[in-house]
Order: sequence, then C-alpha cells, then structure tokens
Amino acid sequence: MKPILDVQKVKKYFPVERGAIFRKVAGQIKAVDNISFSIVPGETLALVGESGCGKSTVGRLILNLLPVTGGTIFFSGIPLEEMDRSQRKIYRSAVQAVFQDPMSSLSPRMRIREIIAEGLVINQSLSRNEIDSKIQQVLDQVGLPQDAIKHYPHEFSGGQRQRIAIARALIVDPKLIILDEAVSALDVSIQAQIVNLLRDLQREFHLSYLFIAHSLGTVRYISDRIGVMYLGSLVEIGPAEEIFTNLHHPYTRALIDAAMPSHPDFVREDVVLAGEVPSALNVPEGCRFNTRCPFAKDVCRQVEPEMFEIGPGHFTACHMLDGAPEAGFFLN
Amino acid sequence: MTQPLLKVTDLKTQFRTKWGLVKAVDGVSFHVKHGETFGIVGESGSGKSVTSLSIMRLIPQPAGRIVSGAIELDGLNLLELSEKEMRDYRGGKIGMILQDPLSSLNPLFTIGSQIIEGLRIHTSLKGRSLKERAIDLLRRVHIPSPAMRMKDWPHLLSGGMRQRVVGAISISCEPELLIADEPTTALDATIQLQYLNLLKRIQKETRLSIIFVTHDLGAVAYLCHRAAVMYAGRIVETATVKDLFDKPAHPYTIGLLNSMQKVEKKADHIESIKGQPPNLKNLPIGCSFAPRCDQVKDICKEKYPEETELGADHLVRCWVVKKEAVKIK
Repeated sequence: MKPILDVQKVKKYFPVERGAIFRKVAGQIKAVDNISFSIVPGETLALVGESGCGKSTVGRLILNLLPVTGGTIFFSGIPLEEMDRSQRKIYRSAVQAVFQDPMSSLSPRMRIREIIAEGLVINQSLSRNEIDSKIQQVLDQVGLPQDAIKHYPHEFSGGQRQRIAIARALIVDPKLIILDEAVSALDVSIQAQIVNLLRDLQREFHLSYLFIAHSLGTVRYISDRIGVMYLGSLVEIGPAEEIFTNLHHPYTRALIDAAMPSHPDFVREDVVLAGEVPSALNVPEGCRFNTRCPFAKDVCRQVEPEMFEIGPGHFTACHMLDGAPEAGFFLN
Repeated sequence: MTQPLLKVTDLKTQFRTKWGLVKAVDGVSFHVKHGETFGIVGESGSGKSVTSLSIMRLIPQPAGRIVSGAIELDGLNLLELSEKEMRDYRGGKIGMILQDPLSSLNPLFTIGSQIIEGLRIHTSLKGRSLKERAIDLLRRVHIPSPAMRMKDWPHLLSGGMRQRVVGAISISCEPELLIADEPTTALDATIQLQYLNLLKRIQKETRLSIIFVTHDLGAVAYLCHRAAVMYAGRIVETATVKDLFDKPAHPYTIGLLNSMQKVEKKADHIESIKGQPPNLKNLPIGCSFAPRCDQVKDICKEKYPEETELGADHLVRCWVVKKEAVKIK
C-alpha cells in the first residue's frame, strides 16, 4: 500500500543564541535528527520515548507548525514545501491534530458550535444548514449530546472536552490525525473511553493515526506499528507486537521494563536503567544511547549506528545486533 | 495485635466555595501500619490529595476546614494539637513529597541550604555536622558528587534529581511517616522506576511507613502493600494489594482494573467505565457511583452503603456486594 505520509531524513535544529547585542549562534539543540518513517492509510503508528526525545516536535513538523531544518515530508507523494495554494488547503483539512490538554487547545471564548465548525467554515464553502447537519453528525459520532453546541468549553469535564477536540478534527474529513498525548491527561476510567472511541472512529473512517505517547500500555492497545525515539532519533521501529516481544534495542528494553506492572505478580525487582537522558544541546558522539547502555563498547562511542532491517518491517539502530536483550537484563 | 502508626477515623474536610459547600473528603477511615506502604488511589477530584493534606493539617484556611474526625499518630490526635506543636510534626515525624518538585523547592536558595533548614529546626545538629548530614542525605538518594551539588540551585537540576532532593529533605529528620502525593507523576518512565526503587530501599533501611497517593494502579501494584480506592470523597474499598487485584469487590475498583491498558499483553478490547466523574457540588443521594454502575439496585439510589468486611483487611462499601456476602454466610 502506498503511504499517506512519508517522512524522509527529517531534521529540526533549534539554534541557541548568546549575547545581548551581537547575538550569535552558540549551539544547536538537535530536537529531531535524521528521522524517517511512513504511515499507510488506516494505520496507527505510535511514537514513544521520554520527554525531550523530540516526539512532539515530529508532530509539529508534520502539521507544518514548524519549518524543517532538513529532509522532506511527503503527503500522498507530494513534498510539503512544493505544495501550491490549493494543495496546501487540502493538506490542512486532511491532517488534523488532537493535543494533550483540551483546556488550552479549545478557545475559552468560543461556544462549542463555533469551535467545531471553524475548520469547516474556513476550508469549505457550505450553507448554514449543511454545516449544522455536519455538526450534528459529528457530535453523534464522538458521543456528545446535541445541546453541547450552545455551551462553552469550561462547562465540560476533561473527557468531554477531548471529545470536542476530536469532533473538531473529524468534521473536515481528515485522512491523518496527529494525537499528541491525547489521552495522557485524562483519568484512568475516561482514558479507556477515549481510546476505544478513537479505535471505533479509525475503523469507520479508515483514518491514519500518529499516536504520540509515553504510556506503553495505551500504545500496545492501539498501535499497529511503534517507533521508539531517544534524544531526537529513532532507535527502533517495527510492528507493535514485534517491538514488545522481539525487540532488539537496549533502550526499547529499558523503556518496556520501566512500565508499571498491571498486577502485583508482574513486579520485577531492581530492573533499573541508570542515569538520565543527556541534553539535546550536547548529543553524545557515536550511538546516542552509549552513556546509559550497559552493553556499550568502543565502537558505540565512536560510530553512529545505522538503521538495519532485522525482520520484516522491523528496523533498529544498534551495533550489538546479535544478542537481543532479554527481560530484566538491566539487573543491578 | 500491634497498634497501627496512623489511624484516621471518619475524617471530613469541606471547602466553602462560590457555588456552595464542597465535601472534598466525606467520612474517610483507614490505618497505616509500621513499615507499610499504603496506597490511596483515585481519579482527580476523588479527595486523595485533600486526605493527605488533612493529615499534615495543610488545608488552606479559611475556605477549607476539617469538620470532624480524628487523625491519630501513635495514639496522639493531630487535630487537637496547637499550630505550634503541629509544626514539630511537619517535616519532623511526618515528611511529605509533592508532585511538582520545582514548586516545592525555593528557587532562591541552594539545595544544600534547603536541606539544612529542616535539620536545623528539627534536630540538635550544628555547624559542620549539619553539612555532613546533608551531604550524606544527598548520597542516600543517589545524587552523584553530593558535596558539589550542595551549592547548586534547584533550576540546575533535572526533574528526577529535584525530586530526589525533595526526597532527601523529607527523610532528613527521620520521619515515621512519609506522605508521597503523586511523587512520580511528573517524571519519565525510567526515572519514575529509579525513584520508586529509591523509596522502596529507604523504607527497607528505616522501616518508615509511606502513604503513597496516586492515580496509577500500576504504581500501586509495584510499590504498595495495602491500598484504598477513593471515589467522590469516600473510600469505596480497602484491601491488601494482592486482594485488590485478584479479588476486587467494588464495581468501581473492578471497572478501574478492567480499563487498565496493560503493557504485558495486547488486549482485543478494553472495557471502560461509562459516564463522567461526579460533580462534588452536586452528589447523588445514596451511592455516588450509582449513576455509572452497571449493577445498580434501588437501594443504591437511596442510601449510602455501609461497610462490609469481606475478609482480613478487606473492606468494601457497596450494597450489591453486601447482599451477596450475607447470602454466602
């Protein structure tokens, strides 16, 4: 199947400036460094990693909220920067986003009707009646009552606000939705509701999701493929169950071992990855993970590993390809 | 049987707001044994943080007030102490760790001076020994080169390091009880695990009791011995962690466990709890969970359920469970 979104060697560096009058660039934060992946229609790709690994920046680059420093993002085969006005307009409807905090992503001064209809009014020329019937339809789909349109965002609970944000994304018939920590701020009982809603909507409308998250439980439930990011770059990407059961990169192992157990019987003692993520301003030479990796050899400190296919659709960037780390190998 | 370290009986904490009286904590009772980690799990607005702040008597006044109840630490009711006496307990016998380490550290003082501050107030240490003790504490919470770090400012440290410093302060005066209110929620997964292991180790070394307040059932499974599940200001179920996960009785606990997205196994479908969390300003008469409960009976809408004992250390407040328990007997 042809990918709907194709991200090719994308980089995003933020310059760090010093000096009050004569400002000069003192360094670069490599938020995203040479990332490639693609998403096919109807698929969910999850990007996981710890804070500062660049996963949200990838989402913002795809949404065209930030310009790329290098590389190209293709949508339906067309590079973003080569799109003309009309193509760009289509793109802005086709790619939608739902963010983590629905309190700050919904304008407090607008009623729900205006919030949901805004994208429709801007992107398509429809009559008032057509807009109203579309709003009705989309409220039904996300499970909100019809009289919600008269109210303001603050009158709703967190879960309902997230439904409003999903309705707003859905109304313009998107192909791809960027879900940037879309369920992380919600209560446990509501999280499951919203995740199930997202799954149902995906089946109904054949949507693609880029699911940016740090909670591996949710990721395992919702994704078809998973990309693991560390310090601005992908260390492993592959089919979701492969990543959980047949993973190769030591960092993936550490991340999965650090997830909280779902039952006291699954508690493993003393499985700890030592140290903290280095600053993106000062990325370690060679493999980015070498400062925390218990396997690190000389080659890891000198040469940056390339992505290597180790199974169908399963890629990893690690010099120590033979000898995949087993569960609990970070034993202290 | 030995006395529990902390015994909370029928605690009620209320807030006066523009929209009327909010019963944030409404008749909560539990106890914490010596050397035990007791979890309080609940969603936002369930009253778990207000419960822990009530124990420290840090409810913002005059809006908030502890209306009734007793909080006994080693048999002494904290609610009857004067403000001055209470101050000896805060940071002394009871330590506290809050969610956001940046707002619990003062940005204008070095971390060394902030650790020493507590030691100076609560212990008889002076001069050099104060400083040595502070360095030793930083070492115990695994901060590399602790002597150098003493002179650092909070903003120079990462989130995980800051939370370690807060941990060092909270255990500095050898408390008997440590209240940790969502200490790892703001931390990354690998850092969270490091921190929870640190808490486990400190507990093993000092035999202190921990109240661990969280919304994350996984963290409860990882760390706690017993736990209470809160809903709308009340405890609906208390049990050992094993019983809570193996034999949950309250429909809300069961719902929470079912809606957990497990990392160990891919689920085909996850059951969610229907409906929205309750509005504390406008709670239903009877069981507050009734509007979302799929086993609801008539009596649930009329009267708040009594406590039913299901076994050792296993208490639940649910009419449906009570009926069945009586039937079995």
